[in-house]
Amino acid sequence: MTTAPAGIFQKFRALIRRSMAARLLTVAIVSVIGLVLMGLVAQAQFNAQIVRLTIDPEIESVANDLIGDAGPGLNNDLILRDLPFDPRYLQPLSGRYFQILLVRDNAPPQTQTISPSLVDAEIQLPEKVQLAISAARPGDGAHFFIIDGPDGGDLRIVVRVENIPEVQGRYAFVVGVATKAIVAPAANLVGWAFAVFVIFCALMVAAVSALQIRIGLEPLHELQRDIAAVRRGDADRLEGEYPAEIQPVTDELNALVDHNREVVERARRHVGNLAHALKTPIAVLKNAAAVGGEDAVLKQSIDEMEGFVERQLRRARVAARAEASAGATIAYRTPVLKNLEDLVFMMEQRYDSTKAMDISIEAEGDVTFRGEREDLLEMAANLIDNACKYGTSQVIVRLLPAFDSKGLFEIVVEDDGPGLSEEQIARAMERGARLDEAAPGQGLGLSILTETVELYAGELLFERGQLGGLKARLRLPATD
Amino acid sequence: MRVLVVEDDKNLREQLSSALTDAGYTVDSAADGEEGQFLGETEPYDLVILDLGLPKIDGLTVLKSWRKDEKTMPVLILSARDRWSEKVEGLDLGANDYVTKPFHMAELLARVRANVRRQTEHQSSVLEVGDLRLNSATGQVTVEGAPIKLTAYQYKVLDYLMHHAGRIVSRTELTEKIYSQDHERDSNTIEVFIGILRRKIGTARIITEKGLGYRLIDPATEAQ
Repeated sequence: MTTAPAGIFQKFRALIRRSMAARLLTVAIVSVIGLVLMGLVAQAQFNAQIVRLTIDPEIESVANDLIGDAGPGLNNDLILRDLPFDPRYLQPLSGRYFQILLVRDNAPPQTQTISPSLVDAEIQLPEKVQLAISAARPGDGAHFFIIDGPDGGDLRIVVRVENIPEVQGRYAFVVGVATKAIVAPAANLVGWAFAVFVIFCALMVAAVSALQIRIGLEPLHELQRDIAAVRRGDADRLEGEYPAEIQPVTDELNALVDHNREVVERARRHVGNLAHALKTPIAVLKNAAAVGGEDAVLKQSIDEMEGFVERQLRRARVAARAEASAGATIAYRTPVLKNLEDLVFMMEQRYDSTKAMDISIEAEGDVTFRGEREDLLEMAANLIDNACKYGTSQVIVRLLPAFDSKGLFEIVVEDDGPGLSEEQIARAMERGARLDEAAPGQGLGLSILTETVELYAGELLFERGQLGGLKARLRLPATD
Repeated sequence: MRVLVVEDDKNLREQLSSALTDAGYTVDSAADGEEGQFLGETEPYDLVILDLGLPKIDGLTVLKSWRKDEKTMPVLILSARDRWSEKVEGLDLGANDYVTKPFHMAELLARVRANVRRQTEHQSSVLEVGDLRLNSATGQVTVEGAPIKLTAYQYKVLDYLMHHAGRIVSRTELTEKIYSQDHERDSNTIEVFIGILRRKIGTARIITEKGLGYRLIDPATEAQ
């Protein structure tokens, strides 16, 4: 049994920890409860005032009447020569009572007369009232108490102790009115007003806290949208203006973005240095072998070494990049057309002395690649280089910026070479069975390309082009 | 013909030096960026072979400082990194060509020849045909004031056509001029170069004279 409330409490704590809205709501609820408690205190005060203002004068005046009406009976005891004017003191259990007691010195006061409304059950006076009666002297005036009445409700009583002429001893005159009868109608009226007021206040507080949640948490939503923009690559950093409370968070996030870029950059530099270190000795070996009279075995080994180093270095680069992007996909923005133009010029230079290649660019417009420049250059260079290698004299690079439904743009590279047969195309598109698998360092160099395309969730398709050769369609994500 | 080799690897530097010397060039060499930069600034070279990964000062910085000092000698970048962005950057900074390590010495020598000739075949001069301008001192070609990028061979074709502006130049003539002793060529490649040039400088500037060859004109005056 004890675990159930504890469980609820645990859940509540968890909710508070998870939801800021729940936190704010809790504050609102607690303040409404406080408001209600304050209202209850106010109502109790109000009831006490009603009792003081309406009941006390009545019972005091009835007590006065009774004292006036009291006189000696046949045996010198006390009798009432008249009854109070108010008929409710005569109706049974009407809520208005009186009781007259003989005050004795060493014993509790003894009841002499009770109002007809009490029928035959006298009011049981609590000890404090009895003590007050015993201690009171005639002419002391009125003492007020609240005691338990005959019908179970509160009874407001007044006590006066007086000597009655020609009657032996002191008598205590007790007149009481059940507070319920007086307070309830007024309390009912006020109670409604009070309930309406509390509901109104609660609604106000709820509305205010709802507004607080909306307006107060809005910067967080804005921050979320801005972070999403950075991740998508629509922005480089968090540039918006944020409240002072959130600014430290955005500063940290920006630092994280920068750090991530740095990590990628560093990994790349490292690999670049390694490439440099390995390739120069290979170049030396290669030239030395050529001078030594083109030993076929030596040449083949060096070529294999060269291809192996190249592939491993590229693979390491892809892995480093994938690792960096798995932790947090920090996006880059790369304009495509300018880079394609630079690349095409480089390719023209590369094939300048060996083969006249007419590489033309047809672009319907520019587009921004959601990724790194190096990767874009790498992928496009691979395709254009292959096209130049296998083409006869013409290569067309087409940039289609129109997004498809997945937000991809397309780079088409076509050549006028012999192209690939249907089976070769089918094999090239299969994962695992790649065209360049058989000959390291030669072939189409597709494996590195497909890995990079996969990393960006892009697509690479091969088909027969209109120039007669191979047509490669590279689809990559654009920033939106 | 003076060539500067800036390369930090001792073996490769010596191989390059001896291969270039055998090919008839006068070769100076530098082992780091600082020395290379100094030599390039003070000596008149016809071509520089510049490695990118150099101690003290890296190759791109050296190239940038030369171009800032208006040193216009052709620079051939020797890059071990197959980082495309770096190569693109090198060309943007004013390199004329690049060769990726490891390379075949024969290929490198062919590139050196092509780039040296581009620089020295004509005296420093500015050729103008209409608003097409070729400055052989800087190797810069502009169309209506806007610079265009040409490869060494594209440049040679244009240079020859501009020297003979208005006159019909046959394919055979072009082939002989462009390729001389380099390679065996079929005249088809000239067609390709003409196609590329037309795209870069404007189609109307090169007219095909059926069966005869090509003629470079100024379309603005020819139209009248």
